[in-house]
Amino acid sequence: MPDFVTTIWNTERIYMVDFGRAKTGAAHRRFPDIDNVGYHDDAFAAEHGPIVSAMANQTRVNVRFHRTEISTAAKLFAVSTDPTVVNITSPAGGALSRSRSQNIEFTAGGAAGRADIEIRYGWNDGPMIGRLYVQVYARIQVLMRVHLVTYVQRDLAGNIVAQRNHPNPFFSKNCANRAQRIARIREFINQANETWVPHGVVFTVVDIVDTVWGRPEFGSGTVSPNFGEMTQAGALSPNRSAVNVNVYCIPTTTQGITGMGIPPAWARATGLVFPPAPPPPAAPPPQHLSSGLYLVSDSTATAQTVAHEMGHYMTLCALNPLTGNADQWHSTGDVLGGAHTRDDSVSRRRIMYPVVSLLNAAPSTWRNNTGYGNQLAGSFLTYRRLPAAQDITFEESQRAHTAALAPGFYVG
Amino acid sequence: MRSNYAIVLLVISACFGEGQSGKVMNPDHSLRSQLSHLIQARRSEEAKALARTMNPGDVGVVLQEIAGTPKPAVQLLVLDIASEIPSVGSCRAVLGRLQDSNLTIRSVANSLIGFCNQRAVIPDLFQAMDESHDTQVQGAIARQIGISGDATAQPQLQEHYDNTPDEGLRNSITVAMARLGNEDSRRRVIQRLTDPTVDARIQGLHDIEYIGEPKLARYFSPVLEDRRDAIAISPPHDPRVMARVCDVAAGSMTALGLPLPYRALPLRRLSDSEIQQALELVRSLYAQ
Repeated sequence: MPDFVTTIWNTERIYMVDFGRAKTGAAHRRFPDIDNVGYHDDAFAAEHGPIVSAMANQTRVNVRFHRTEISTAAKLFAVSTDPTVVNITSPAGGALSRSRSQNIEFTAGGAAGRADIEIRYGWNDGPMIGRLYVQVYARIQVLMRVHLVTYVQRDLAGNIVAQRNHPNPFFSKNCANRAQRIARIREFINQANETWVPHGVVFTVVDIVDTVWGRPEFGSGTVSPNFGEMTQAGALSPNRSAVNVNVYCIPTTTQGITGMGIPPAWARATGLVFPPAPPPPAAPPPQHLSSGLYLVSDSTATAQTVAHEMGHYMTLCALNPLTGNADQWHSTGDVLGGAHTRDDSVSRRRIMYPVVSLLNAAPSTWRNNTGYGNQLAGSFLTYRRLPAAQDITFEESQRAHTAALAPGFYVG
Repeated sequence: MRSNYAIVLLVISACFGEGQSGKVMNPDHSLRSQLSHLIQARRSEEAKALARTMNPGDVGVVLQEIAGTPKPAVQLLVLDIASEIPSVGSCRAVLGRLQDSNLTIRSVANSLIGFCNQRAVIPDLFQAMDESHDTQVQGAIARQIGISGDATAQPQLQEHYDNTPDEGLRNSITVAMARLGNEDSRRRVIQRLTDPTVDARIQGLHDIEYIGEPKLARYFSPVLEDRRDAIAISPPHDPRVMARVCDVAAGSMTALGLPLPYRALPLRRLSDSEIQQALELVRSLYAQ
C-alpha cells in the first residue's frame, strides 16, 4: 500500500497534512486557533501555509496535526526550523504516531521570533510535505483599572435624588456584594486572556476602584445614560487613569449594548473630548478622551465580550491610521452597522464577528458550531494580511499587538 | 526577632538617615527619601499621597533617580506618579524608559510622552528621538517638541526630516515645525485641504487642530463645501451615520476655539444653515 494515493488534476492543490485547533469549546491559551483561512500573506509574501502563535516562554502549547491525504503508515516527523523559537516537546524526538490525528506540543522561546514546524517524510531530514508557521510574540501586559461605577444624582443641597447601583444578577450571575462582583469581573478578564495570551497580550487588572457618576459627569440628571452621556462621563470620570485602560463596569445604558471598546484614535477623530474647550483667550482646561472599555452589568455580557471589545480598543477591526475613522468595525464583509457581515463558518470563528450567539440558520445548521460550542461565536484572530482592496480586516493578531505598544495607547 | 529589628532599623535609616546622624535635616530631602522608600516598597497609595503633598520638582528628582530600577512594578509606579505630577524630572523618568526591554513599561512610557511639556526637556526629547528606532515613537516625540519647544527647535527638526524616508515621521515633523511657526511647513499642511482624497483632507484638518492656530481656518472653504462622507460617528451595531468632511471641518473650528454659534464637537451631521454659518465665519477671517 503506497503512502499517498490521490488522483491529481492539473490545477489541484494537494494537502497531504493539515493543522487545526487541538481542542473544542472555549478559548484556551495553550490551544490556540490556527489561521488556515488563506495561504496568501501580503506581509510575508514568501510564506504559504497555516500559522499560529504563542507568547514568549509559553509552555505546553498544543496544535492538532492531521494526516489528510497521506497514509497512517507513512513515517512522518515534526521538526522545528529553529528550536530556540519553537521547541517541540511532544512527540519526543519528533516522530509522529500512526494516528490519523494527533497533538504536537511545543514550548515557545524566550524572545520574539518566527519559526516553522515542518512535517518531514520518512526521516527527520526527509522531504518536507507540509508546515505550520509559528509566530512567537514578546509579552505585553495591557494594564487595566476597573471602575465599579454607580450613578448618583444629587440636588443642590447634596441630597440624593436618584440612584442606580449594580443589579443582581450582575453580568448574569448572582453577586450580592462587592467581593462577588469583583470576582465576576476578574473571571471575565481571566477568560478573555485565554483568547489573547497566544497573541502576546495579557490583560492585567492593576486596581479596582469605586467610581460615582452624576450630573458633573453626565451633564444631566440621568441614571439611564445614552451613548453621549455615557461617553462624556467616561471622559470626565473620577479616578480616570492615564496609565491604564479604564474599564467602566456600568449598571445600565439606554444604548442596548453589552459592552463597548472605544479606541483612543476613534475617540479623538470623532471629537469625544471633554470638557469642551472655551473660546480663547480663556486657557483650555485639561481635556480627556472617552476612550476605554464600557461593560454593562445588567446585560448578558460574557468574557467573550471583554475579549471582543478589547479587540476594538486595540484598533480592530480596521481603524484608518490617517484619519482615525473606523473603516470597518467587525469581520469580513462588515459595513458600519454590522448588518451585512459575512456570515460563514470562518467569520463565525472570529472574535471580531459582531454577533455573540450564532443564528440558527437552518438548513445550514452545520455552521452553528465552529469548534467553540453550539451556537457560540469563536475566539479566532487572523494573522495573514490580504491586499487592502481584498480585505482590510485581516492581520488582527499583529495589528493588536502593535497597537498596545504605540504612543497614545493609554490616555488620561 | 533579630532580623525584624534589623529591617526596622533599615527603614528608619532610609527615611531619616541624615537627620538621625546629627546633621541638620533638610525637610525636602527627608520627604524625598521617604517617597523613594515608599515607591521601592511598592506602597503605591501611600507614595502617591505623599507625592501630592510635595514640591513637583522634588518628586521629579526622586522619580528620575529610581526610574532605572530593574523591578517592573516599581517602574510602573514611577510612571504612574509621573503622569500625575509632571515636572522636568518626571519627564526624564518617562523618556528614560522609552527603550525599556519590558514592552509593558515601554508602552506606558510611550503613552506619557505627551506629559513632557517643560521647555527644559527639549534636549532630552531630541536625545530620545535619536535613540528610538520606532518611527511612531519618534513621531510622537516630534509632535511633543512642537508643543513644548519654540522656533529654535526648527533646525534640529529639519535635520531629522531630511534624514528619514518614513512618510509618517516626516508628516509628524512637518506639523511640529508648522506649530512652531515654520511657514513652509504650514503651507504643506494647508495644501492637504485641497487634496482630492477625503483621507488627506481629514488629516489636514486634524493637523491644523494640532497646530492650534485659529487663523488657519481661513483656508477651510474647500473642506466646508465638501459633502463627502468621512468619519463614522455611530458606534458599532447602530445604524450607520457618517460625519462628512464639512462636519469635521466645523469640528476643527470648534476645537480651534472659533466663535461658531453652535458646538460641532463631538462630531455630528450639521444642517445646511450651520455649514453656511461656518463658511461665513471663515470668509470673515479671510477679510481680516
